[in-house]
Amino acid sequence: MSMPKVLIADDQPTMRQLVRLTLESDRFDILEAPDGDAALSLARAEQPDLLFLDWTMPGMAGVEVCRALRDDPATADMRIVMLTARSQDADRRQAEAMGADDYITKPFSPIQLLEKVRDVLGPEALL
Amino acid sequence: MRARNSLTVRMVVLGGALATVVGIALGTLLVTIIDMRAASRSARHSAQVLAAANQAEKLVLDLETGARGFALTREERFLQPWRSARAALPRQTERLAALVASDPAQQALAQQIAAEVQGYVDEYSIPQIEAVRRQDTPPATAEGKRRIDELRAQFARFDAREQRLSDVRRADSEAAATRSIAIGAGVLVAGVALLLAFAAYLGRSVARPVRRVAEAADRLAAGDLSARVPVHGHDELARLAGSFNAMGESLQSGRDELDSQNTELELQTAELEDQQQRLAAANDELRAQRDELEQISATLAEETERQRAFGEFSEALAAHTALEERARTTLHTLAETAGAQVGALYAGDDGRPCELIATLGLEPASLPERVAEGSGLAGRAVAERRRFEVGRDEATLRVSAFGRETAVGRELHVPLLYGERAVGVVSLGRVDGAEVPPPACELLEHLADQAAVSLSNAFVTHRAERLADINRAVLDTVRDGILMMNEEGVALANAPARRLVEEILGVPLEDAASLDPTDVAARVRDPEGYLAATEAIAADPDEPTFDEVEMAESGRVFERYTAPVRDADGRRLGRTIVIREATAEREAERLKNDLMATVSHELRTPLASIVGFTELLLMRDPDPDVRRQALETVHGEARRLSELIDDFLDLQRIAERGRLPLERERVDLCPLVADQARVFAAQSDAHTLDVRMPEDPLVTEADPSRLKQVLANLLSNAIKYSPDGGRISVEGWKRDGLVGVAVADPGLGIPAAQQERVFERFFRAPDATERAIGGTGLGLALAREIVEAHDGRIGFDSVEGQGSRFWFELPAAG
Repeated sequence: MSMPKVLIADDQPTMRQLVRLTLESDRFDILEAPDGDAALSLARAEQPDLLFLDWTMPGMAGVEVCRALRDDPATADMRIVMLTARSQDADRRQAEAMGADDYITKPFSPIQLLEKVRDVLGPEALL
Repeated sequence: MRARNSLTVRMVVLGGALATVVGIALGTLLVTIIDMRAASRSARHSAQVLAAANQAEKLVLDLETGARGFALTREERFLQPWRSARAALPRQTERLAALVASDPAQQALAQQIAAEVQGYVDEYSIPQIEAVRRQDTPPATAEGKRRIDELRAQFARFDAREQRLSDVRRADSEAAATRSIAIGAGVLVAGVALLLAFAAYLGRSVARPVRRVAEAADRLAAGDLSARVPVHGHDELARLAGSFNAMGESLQSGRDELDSQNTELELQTAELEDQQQRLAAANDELRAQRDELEQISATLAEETERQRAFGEFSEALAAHTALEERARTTLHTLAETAGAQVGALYAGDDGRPCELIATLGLEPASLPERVAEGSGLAGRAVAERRRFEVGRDEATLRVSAFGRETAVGRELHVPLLYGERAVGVVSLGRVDGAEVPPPACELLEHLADQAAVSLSNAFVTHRAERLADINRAVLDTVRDGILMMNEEGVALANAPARRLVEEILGVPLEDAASLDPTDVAARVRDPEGYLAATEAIAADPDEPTFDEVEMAESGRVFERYTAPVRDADGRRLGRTIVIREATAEREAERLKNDLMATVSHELRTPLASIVGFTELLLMRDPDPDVRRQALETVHGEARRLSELIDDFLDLQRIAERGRLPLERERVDLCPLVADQARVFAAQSDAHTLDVRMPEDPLVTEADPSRLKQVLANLLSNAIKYSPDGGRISVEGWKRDGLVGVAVADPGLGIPAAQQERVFERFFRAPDATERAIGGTGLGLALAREIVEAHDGRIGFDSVEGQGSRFWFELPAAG
């Protein structure tokens, strides 16, 4: 069984590192994208099992990437979790409308992140 | 007929006879004169004939002497007279024959002479001359002489005969002259005799009868109606005399008739005189009745005049509602009625002291400002509710005359009474000192009553207007638009309401009520909401309503509060609408909300690293390298968070105190720029920082930590607003006593429309929000505060889509 593929899209390297460290890279195939456009092309090319998507990024904003993936039948079923510092209710609603499966507000605890991974990928992903 | 006109016939016959006699005499005279003229003409003709005969004879002699001269001398020049005579002779003899053409005997003689002359020339003179020329023997001179003598005898006979004819004619002429003188004298004598006879006849048969008629007419004119003229014959004069006599008869009978009529008229006159006396008596009675009527009529006229004065006064008062105008009208009318030249009117509203309101012919400054009840004549008139009239000794009003002030001759104080209440008092002055006549006084009091009512009303109106003015002024000071609508439209609106309605709807307030709600709805951002609110107002007019309208085009926001208006008895008067512009508030709210979202986002981003890494460290026990790296990240993010908070606090401080506290020292910008560039280069992989600073230090007196803030802000913006990465260039310079730094990026640039707002606090380009570019909207505001606090300048050049170049300059330190 191959390792689950996780794509982390965030313009801040520290944030990508935090997610990578939290997930313990030896159990996941971890991909990184520093902006929206890179995230979209990587997601299409690699078909990751899970996508952590920042909102505020250079190039395409996270929600736009989300919408683009949902509109493409090849990626329409991809599991997408927004990981963003935008905390307003309106933001959360907008992300949902754009097709995000879940929404994590920064700052977040590593345990919270792992729980989301388990919810999305199933408990066996963390074993 | 013949008999009557016999005088005219006789006159015509006599005139005709006289004319015939004179005509015959003049005819005879004319015939004699013609004879005389004929005689003298034939005498003149004989002289012409004799002259022509002499001329011809002379020419014959010329022939003869010329030819003889030539024969003796043989010189051609002596032949000249011959030639001339020979050429002229035929013409001369012809002329002679023509002249005597009327006398056959003389004509025959003349023709004979002409033939003999021609014969002499042809048969003798020419052969002689030719013989001389040929040197031949000329014809015998005796022959020539005989011929000439014969010719001359002929001429002599012709002349003698002509002379005789001439003498006979002259004798005829003289006889005719003598005859005509005799006839003329005879005619003259006969004419004079006839004229004398005619005159004598006229005197006898015309002048005498006419004179008789004239004399009789004179007598008639003098009154002698018995004058008559004798009538002779049947001619016109007889007719004149007859007519005159008839006229005399007629006049006489007319006078007799007049005499009898006169007698009758005298009788009638006596009767008329009697009647006249009776009429005079009746007339006296009528005059007495008329006097009585006139008296009644005068009383009526007086009453009418009074009514007219009341009417006019009423109209004059009604023409103006203002207190001052009514007071002036009152004063003028009362003064006129009283015959006063000067005056003053005092009045007070509802128990207040009477104040000076109007003057006539007096300087207001010279009069007391108010009348105290009971004090002075005017005060007493008010207190005692009665009129006061005094003479010069007690008068208080002063008029200036010839530069001196003197008291008026007579003074009158009339209280203005409205029922029991004294509204005011009118003081009047007459310069002449005459008393005011009683009817005028009576009229004055009536007019004063009328004026009191009118002034009292004016006070009420004045109070109401003043209150309305205050209300209007108060409403106008409110910034919100306040208006009241009823069935008839806009009942009340303050100035802001007019302005706001016109700005919102684009039409004046008066036209706004007739606009269709759907037309208005088309202009607002939420037409359905607007129409629903309008319907709610219409559906339940007893409830107050509140809604907010945002204009689609301008983006302006207005709050609308409406509530029913009721009077004290609960009756509906209409509906109040309060319009309040909330654009600035909404904008401030939007900015605040945006700021809150941004601040929250900006705080959460570093916190995410801090919380995440620390929890991770607590949860796991990673390698020392990982641990250290994590701690460094936590530390850096914590620092960033701290700086962010500092930015807020700094701006908060500036907002509170107006200026930023600085700790100045000598600073070189070069190392400062280099440090910051290193920090930011590490933050982004996509951007490269190209730093070009001069080798010489850029020294200024500044607070280094604040300058670091400015640089950090410019660099951070350059990176944030160049989302596609690229080269950020940083340069420094020193010139004109200033040191400066510029940061240029190849990024989004700033749209021209937003360039002037770039340094505003909390301003964030909409583009930045859309593109999810982080920031507080405080960085540039703070940067400007810092640079200006250092007496420097900050600015930028930017083209949308091509990047921006931000720079600042500070005074160089010496």
